Parts: sequence; structure tokens; C-alpha cells
Amino acid sequence: MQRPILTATLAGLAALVSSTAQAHVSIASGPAFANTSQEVAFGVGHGCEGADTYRVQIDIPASVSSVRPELNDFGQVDVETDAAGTVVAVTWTKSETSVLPADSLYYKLLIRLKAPAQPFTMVYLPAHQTCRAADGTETVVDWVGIDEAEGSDVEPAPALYVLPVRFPGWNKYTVDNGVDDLKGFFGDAQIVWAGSKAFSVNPTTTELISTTEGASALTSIAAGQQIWVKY
Amino acid sequence: MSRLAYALLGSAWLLLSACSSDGSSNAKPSGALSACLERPDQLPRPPSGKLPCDLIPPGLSLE
Repeated sequence: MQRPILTATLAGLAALVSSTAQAHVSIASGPAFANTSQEVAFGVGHGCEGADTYRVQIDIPASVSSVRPELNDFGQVDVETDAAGTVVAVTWTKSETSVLPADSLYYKLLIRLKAPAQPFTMVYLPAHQTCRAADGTETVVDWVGIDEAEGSDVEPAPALYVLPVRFPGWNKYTVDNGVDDLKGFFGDAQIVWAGSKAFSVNPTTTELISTTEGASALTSIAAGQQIWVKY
Repeated sequence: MSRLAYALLGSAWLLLSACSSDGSSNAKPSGALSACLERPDQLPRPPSGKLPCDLIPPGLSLE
């Protein structure tokens, strides 16, 4: 009986390590709220093949506004704008002397931005990570993949989940676009209901949904459907 | 003190005790809502095989 549990645990750990290792630049601040200014954090989990991260550029899509990066001790912050003055990219660059001889630190880079007024959608913010090895060799990794097929060589772009503004307790929403990624959008909800179907990331609650007469598992939400979400 | 005074005091005590905190005259209707602290027998319990009522949304009735 212990062996299957051990095997499952190791498989879970392997999957966790694998996904963590792949996600070098990703959103580290959780979901954003639609049409609201908020801090969004980009976590840089790893450098490139043992080399320290030297520069990170985040491309800002047109649907994102009110962009202001925050200063931090990673390095200098530069903002790139278009002819209209709209911020199109933010870049953090380390000073030459502060590049480490090895990939040993986790970095968190912050931008205050206003997410689009489109709840239950995702905003992709492509990232370009430049690493510098001890011998000065630079490597650039582009995190730009959007809806790539399984097994694609293109690295995934940081994805920001956009949710409607919410309050503690029950929240009633109508979903304009269908939602398949329930775990991504409702990972911090206690429970989500659409009709008599329910979803929760909590395994105990999920089991209770399956054992409660009249309730069944919610696996996706159709466009136009009304839902109740408890936070 | 006269017997009348004792009788009046006794009546007053009886009247006050009838309205005291034993709930006889101030008791709320059995269906009235009150804070959880007032209803310790209704505080959340560990799962018992079905979803607790606080995870059922307003207006939904499961059968």
C-alpha cells in the first residue's frame, strides 16, 4: 500500500519540479482584477543554464494601461514608449558589477498596471530574459509562447488571469466568455457553482461535491452562464 | 416593615424574575437568526459526507 503512495508522491514532486524549472519568468502575484490598477509581480525563478539573469524585458500589450514599474535593487528600470507616449515595454538591467558568477538568486520585479475591463480573460505579457555567464557570454531566452501546442519549443509567456472585482463571501457573476481553466481562474476561491455543478481546488470540498446528492462536478463554464463564487 | 411592604417586595421580585435572563419572556422565536456565538451547536463541523450549507449558494436547493 505504501509503494503506490510513494510513487504518486514522487510523480507529483517531479511534476512540480518540472513545471517550476520551466517557468523562469512568470506572474508571481496571482490573478488581477479587471479595470483596476494593481501591482503585478514577475518572478524570475532561474537564470539560463547556470548563468545569472542580467536583464529582463516585459512587453506590455495594448489592452494594459497605466503602466508604472517599481524601482527595486535588481538594477536600473527603463520604460519604452510608442509615439503616443504609451508604455510598450519595461526593462530591468543589472549593473555590470552586480551580475553574479552563478545562478543562485530568485528575483521579483514589480509593475503597477491597470488590467483590461474584460474579466475571465487572460493577458499575456511576453518576457525576454538575458543571462550573463561568468565569462561574459550572454544568452537570451524569449518567454513569448501563447496557447502553444503541447511539446512546443516556444517558452510560455507570463499569463495574467483577469477576474472581476470581488468581495469576501458570495459573488454572483455572468461569464461573457467560456472558461475551461477553472483551476487557473478560481484557484483561490472556496467554491464555484454554475447551476447544480460545483468546482473547488480544495480536494476535501471536491470530494464532498461528488458525495452530495444533487450536486455534480463543474469542469467548464459556458459563455453567458451565471455563476456563484465564494471567497 | 409591614406585611403590606413585604407583600409588595415579593410581588416585585416575582415580576422581575419572570422577565429575567432565563428567556421565558425575552426568548427569541425559535427560527430567529442570531450570531454563531449564541448558537454553538450550529458552528461549522468537520465534513460529514456532504457539502456544508455555507458552501451552497443563495437560492440553490439540492435534492
